[in-house]
Amino acid sequence: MHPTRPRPRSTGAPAPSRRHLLGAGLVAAGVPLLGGCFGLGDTTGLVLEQPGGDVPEQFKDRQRVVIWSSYTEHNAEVIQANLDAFHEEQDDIFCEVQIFDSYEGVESKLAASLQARQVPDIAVLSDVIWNRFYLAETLEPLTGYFDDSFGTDSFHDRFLAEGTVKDDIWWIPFGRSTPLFYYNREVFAAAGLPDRAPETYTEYAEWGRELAGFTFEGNEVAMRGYIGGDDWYFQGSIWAFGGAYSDGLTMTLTTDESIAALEYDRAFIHDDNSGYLAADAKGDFVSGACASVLESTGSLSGIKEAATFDFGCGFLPREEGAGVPTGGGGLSIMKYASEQRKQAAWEVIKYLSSGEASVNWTLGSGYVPTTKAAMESPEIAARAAGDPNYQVAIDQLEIAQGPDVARRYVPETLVEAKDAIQSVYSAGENAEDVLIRMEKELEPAIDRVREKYEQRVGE
Amino acid sequence: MAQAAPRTRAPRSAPGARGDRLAAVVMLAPNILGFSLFLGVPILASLVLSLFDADGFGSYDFVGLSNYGRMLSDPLFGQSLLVTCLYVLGMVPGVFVASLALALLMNSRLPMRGLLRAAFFLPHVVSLVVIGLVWRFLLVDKVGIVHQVLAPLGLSGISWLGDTRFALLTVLVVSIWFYMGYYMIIFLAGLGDIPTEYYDAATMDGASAIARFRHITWPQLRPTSFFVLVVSTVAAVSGAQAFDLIYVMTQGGPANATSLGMFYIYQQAFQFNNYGYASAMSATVVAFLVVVTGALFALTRAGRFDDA
Repeated sequence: MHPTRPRPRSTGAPAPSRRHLLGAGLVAAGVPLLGGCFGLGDTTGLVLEQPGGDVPEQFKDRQRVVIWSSYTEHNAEVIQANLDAFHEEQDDIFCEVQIFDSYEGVESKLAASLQARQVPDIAVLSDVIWNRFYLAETLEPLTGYFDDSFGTDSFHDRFLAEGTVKDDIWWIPFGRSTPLFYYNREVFAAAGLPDRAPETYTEYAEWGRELAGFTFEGNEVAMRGYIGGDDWYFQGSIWAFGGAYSDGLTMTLTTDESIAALEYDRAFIHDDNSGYLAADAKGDFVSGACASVLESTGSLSGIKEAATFDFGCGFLPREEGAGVPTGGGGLSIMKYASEQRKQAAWEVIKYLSSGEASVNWTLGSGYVPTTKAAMESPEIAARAAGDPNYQVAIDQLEIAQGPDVARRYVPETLVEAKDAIQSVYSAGENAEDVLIRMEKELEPAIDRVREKYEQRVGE
Repeated sequence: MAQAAPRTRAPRSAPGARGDRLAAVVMLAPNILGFSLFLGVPILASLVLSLFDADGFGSYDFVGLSNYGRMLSDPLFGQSLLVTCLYVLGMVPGVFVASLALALLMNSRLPMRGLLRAAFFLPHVVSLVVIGLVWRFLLVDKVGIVHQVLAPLGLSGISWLGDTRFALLTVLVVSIWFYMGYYMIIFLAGLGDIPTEYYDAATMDGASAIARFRHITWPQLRPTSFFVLVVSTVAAVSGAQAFDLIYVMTQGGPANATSLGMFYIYQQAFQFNNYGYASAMSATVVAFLVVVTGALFALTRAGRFDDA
């Protein structure tokens, strides 16, 4: 055996092992990496660069503004037409639209781009997304940008209030909507149902039972195709039954009223066989597979174009009260753009929200008017007079309200809610069990935002 | 006590060998540098990030191993692991059998073989997003083409993407359909390497088609089979194959029935802004992959399938 050296006496703390040193080294090496690759570090006076893109030769000497937009296809063309007119009318600013497939697409890219130290100047953010960027202190307060030529009174009060936190405006209403009740007039007439939307959810269920097993032109028709990929419609029905997702950050999903809303849907689908979870509810309605659907006002033009039958629109049914959620997107300016870019971005927002551009957007997109200019324009009045369904969309705004706090500030809520309603719509799970589970699973998510919420919103 | 053999100094490498080593280092350097920069650094950053509570907007607090602890009590992570296991158990054998069967068929004296090979491989050259959109269109409830084709068979009332019982199965079928052409090409390459003399001799000995497959084709295809097995397993576990399809076709629904581990990680990072937690889950998936791949290597003797 080899002779060993005498072991030194312990000095209290054990000598660090190779493994400890390796672990410490990993963290030590990684923290600067995190600072470099992740997060924004010290944000005082921070200016992030614009995303790359193409500026046409004739606009090379202008201030470039980048919008990240979730408006695609026809809506994208309407925005571009407005911006083309903007480029003609002035010679200081060029605005480039970079298009994403959805609100979630913009959100994901924006979160990632902040880490990559790049931001657009304007982002189109949905009504349940912008608040998270507000909590993270990445949005520019806009109240100070308004002036006599373009004041806060330019907008529909209800919509502007939704973008306001602590007396500051952070989000300008743009492509706003509410759900409408769409029904197939021909099926309703053939089944002996009244030519109107049901006034209450109870009446809707009665009509659904009357329609059960009904065939129209050789096809069996369900009363309602449910949308499971979006909990927006459930937000409305939960209010109608007297419940809510939350009161502030306190979850209220397990109250009798909230449970009643989801239990109603379970019974409608699984007991009465009046509805089903549709992969494409709008498509099913247009093809005649279901007699009614709750869909966005923004879908009005598309349904009108695609439907080969006469259809009507009405207010969403009531129960204990009205339940009409607002939805859609608005425009925010990013805090970490340079001052020149922010100022130019405001000019773009101002143009898109004023006069003719606002009217063109409202008419072209099918979204409800968000500005007074659009509301009071003869073109919108003519459209409403010529299309009673469009008038319904405008009238319903008076009883619409913004989403519950949990849907706005806790991103997990939307996914958990989709999971919950799909569990009931598809698998027929017990509504109370599902909502208890949802509330429990949301607890840690709510705890994570609570401090920031109380600090930044403090309701 | 036996005397230890005296140590002998290894012979100095010849100047030529040293030059070869230097040349090898120089040639490998760009690859190693690229790997280190674009994989090594992000992996290290991700590992470190898993020890933090990071929201992606600039704030991160050191939380040690609590993100890993959180996984144990997260029912949705457990659910996503279960879905991943079901997907792997369906995908790997499914694509293996389907692609091998196709390869054997395409290797036989079939008319228009070249055209058929191209047709089966064709889906693989199209973007998975497009594939997902097309299948979503085909699978639409009540009025979709799939519904109309299956209605006479008594399968008319099924919502293939909207029913928790069928959604994962549907995604699996689309995944297998998409990938079988790719693995078919790999199996065809393996089949092409088998000397025809073996088959000629077996035929002369009166061996049946099944016997020829069992005693010639299968043993000779073992290295190819191992490659297909490892690649398809890694791709299925990591969700690389299914993510696009799930994102486009089901968004993880209905009721998380198709929410693979990788899709849940994506949600945690890019929808919920829980980057630290997402990194911890990623590290766990990578560790699991290392174990699975190691087990495959061990069980099959690195593809030789020798007897133990």
